[in-house]
Amino acid sequence: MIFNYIPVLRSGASCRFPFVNLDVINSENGRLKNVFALVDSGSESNIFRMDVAEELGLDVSSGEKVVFGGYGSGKIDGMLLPVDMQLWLGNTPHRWKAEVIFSDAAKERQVLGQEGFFDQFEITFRRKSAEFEIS
Amino acid sequence: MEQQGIDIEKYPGEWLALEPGTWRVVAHSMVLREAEEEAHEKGVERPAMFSCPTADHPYVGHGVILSREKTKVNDF
Repeated sequence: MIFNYIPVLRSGASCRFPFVNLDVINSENGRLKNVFALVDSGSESNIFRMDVAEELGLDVSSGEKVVFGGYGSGKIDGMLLPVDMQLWLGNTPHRWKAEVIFSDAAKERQVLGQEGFFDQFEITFRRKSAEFEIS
Repeated sequence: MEQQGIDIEKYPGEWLALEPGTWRVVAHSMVLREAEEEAHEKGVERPAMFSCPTADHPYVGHGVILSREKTKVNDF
């Protein structure tokens, strides 16, 4: 399925990014959140805001504490928890189990990374055409 | 469908409820549930919830795990 890059307005300019919306599900209670996240091939992990975990009713204390980072020397705390994820490709839902880092630092970006997203699909970016394909 | 840009400078740190397809902002709040419920009231059944960045700076990548604690913790 083809997705469009989404324009984001910043500092008076428009930049386009590959976002998708997908369902994050707590399979124990059936709660679901439809989140809009960046498809980020540079990220090792899926990273969502902590309040998503809270809204899903996940037991955050049962997770695994992780420290993660990106550029620079900053180290960020997060909790790694298993969830179900579901992406609709047209009328067909694709559901899988994935680990997600929940962290307050994800206020800057919620991202879909290599483990738990890219490993589920064939993903092709066509930036010049402002589209990407997930199959 | 018309596709609008998401004005991230307008809603720093907020949750935006977006209408799938147009990505129009139909509701916003610092609280996830409030933005979602307002979108429902406005007739958007399944809004896509977008976390607006708090700072206006380019994003350069994230998400390299530096350490994992193998045991479960209860003090986080």
